[in-house]
Amino acid sequence: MLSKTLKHDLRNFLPLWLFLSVIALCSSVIFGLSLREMIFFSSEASVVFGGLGMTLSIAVLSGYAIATVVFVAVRFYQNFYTDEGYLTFTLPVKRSTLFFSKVLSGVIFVGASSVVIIVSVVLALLMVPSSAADNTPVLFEVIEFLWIAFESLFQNISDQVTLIMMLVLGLLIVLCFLIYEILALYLCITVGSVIAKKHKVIASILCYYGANFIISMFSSFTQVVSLLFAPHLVMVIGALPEPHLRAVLILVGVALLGIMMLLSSLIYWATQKLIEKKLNLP
Amino acid sequence: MKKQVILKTIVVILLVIFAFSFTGCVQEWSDDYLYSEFAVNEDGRTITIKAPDESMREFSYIGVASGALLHGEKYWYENYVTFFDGSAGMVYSPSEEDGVLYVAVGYDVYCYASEDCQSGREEVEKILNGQAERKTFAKLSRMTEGVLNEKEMQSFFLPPSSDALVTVDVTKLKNCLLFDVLSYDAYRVLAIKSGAIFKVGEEYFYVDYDKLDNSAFDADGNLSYRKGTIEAERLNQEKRQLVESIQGRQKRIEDDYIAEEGIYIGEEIEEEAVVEDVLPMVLVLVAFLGILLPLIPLAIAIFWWITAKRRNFVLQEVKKEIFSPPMVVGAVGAVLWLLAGIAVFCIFLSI
Repeated sequence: MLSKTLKHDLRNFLPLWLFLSVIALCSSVIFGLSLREMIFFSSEASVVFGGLGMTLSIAVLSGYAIATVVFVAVRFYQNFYTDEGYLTFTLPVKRSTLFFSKVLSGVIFVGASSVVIIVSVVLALLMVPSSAADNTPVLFEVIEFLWIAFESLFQNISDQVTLIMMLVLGLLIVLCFLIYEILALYLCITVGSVIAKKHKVIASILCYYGANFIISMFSSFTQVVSLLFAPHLVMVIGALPEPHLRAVLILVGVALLGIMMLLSSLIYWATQKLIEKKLNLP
Repeated sequence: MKKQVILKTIVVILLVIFAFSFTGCVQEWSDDYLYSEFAVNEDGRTITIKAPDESMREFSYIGVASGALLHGEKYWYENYVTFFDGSAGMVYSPSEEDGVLYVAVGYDVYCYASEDCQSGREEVEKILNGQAERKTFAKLSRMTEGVLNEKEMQSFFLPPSSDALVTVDVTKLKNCLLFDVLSYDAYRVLAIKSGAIFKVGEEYFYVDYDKLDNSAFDADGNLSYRKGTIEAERLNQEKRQLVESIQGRQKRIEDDYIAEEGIYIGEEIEEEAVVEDVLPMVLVLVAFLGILLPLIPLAIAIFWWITAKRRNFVLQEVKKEIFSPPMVVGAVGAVLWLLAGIAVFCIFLSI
């Protein structure tokens, strides 16, 4: 049944998402042309039009990212906590399957939107030559710069395999963070809908802000603690020989991945329990 | 109402006047403070200093080094000179009374000496001509220096045998820098990079910059890793052991500046001793974040499992709950976190 519910969820948003993605990709063309105009033509008109084009395309790309997340949240809310919920929960499908399908579709859409944004930026940079004399796209210089920045961030690591492993770990952590963000959004909507009999949307938004406030308080606290211990940690890490340093960096990545997995699964479990036991339809 | 508006206007005007007057004070103070003692002639080849007793002293230009000012004890004049091209440089000296001046402009150090300080002039000339005898191994990025005694240094810089000299592809040396080799003056103030030690795989190479031509360096004067080959010395067993022994004998240098006297003191701290001091604190932090915290969810899950029967829960239900996919993923996450924490703890413990 999961494949059927997932197919339904994906079909529901796919036409609109495709339309938005095409607009985002088109805006990247405007972005590239505007950037090219601003860099290589110094007339006042080119600066004005280039600036306007860049502002417009950045607004479109940002709007696209926000719209995807908002739409995923709205679909979740409408399917589960409005009148549609009666229909959804009378389907011969377990609630846990319905919820898992929503999580999967959310991750797919938000992940795909991130890919579209990256492709848009790549497209834009492909349109800008590195200099007036050289037609090579500036993209290659940007990629080289990013790789050098990544290497210099870990300048004590000379082993390329370790660097690639860290890159893969980093991507896994980003994926886990994406899942965590969507689950946190779903949890806030669920808590808001469970505790409020009326004005569920407002309650959900308040829950979201409340959760963000608590998380930001916690992260400020951890930042203060890290700042207190940072010089000591840097000193101890600096004294490590390279093989140990490599191991510590990879282990810290693994620990972060573990933390994200644990947090995500706790949120998932809590949301699923609320949907199964405390559902409060209007 | 009208009174309040007038009162607010007066307060705003007073605040603006106060802000402007404060800026004026700072501007005046800065001008007086920075330019009073030094004068550079038009071609930049002579610096004249007015001493506190109004006597004048002239320093003539020796040369420019692309180098660094080491963290030994040095005097900083707290003023800067402005050259004819508008570049400004901080003025340092081995001591306030000394006949040598170093003017640091970005990564360049302009060297000057007074006529009555011939020994100082010769000392600086040696550095600039690549004949400096005093050398040290340093990691500039981490402000640490390798410690080798005089005898060890001499044995390291013994001329290599002909079979130890090899041609190395520079691209292979990228990211393999172990130490910069710095040549420094008798005052232990001016230092220039005169070579580097690289570790490529299991082999160590010493590159003497004085033996390379300009094509081996980039526009900033650093060794270029883009393309080409250079001559390097493959270190023999004895020299390798010396380099390896440095790793455990590094010194950390901390800058300290005495404002009233204008003196910089580079305080040398034994790296091992400092690490030992802070290690217990770091171990406690790692134990808390990497072992105690991930144990909490695992302990709660185990406690729930053990006490389920006593609390008249249906064991089958609890089992189903605990082995549900989100719980399993969470448990895997917690175990990964715990194992990584234990491993990091053990690595730190082994220092």
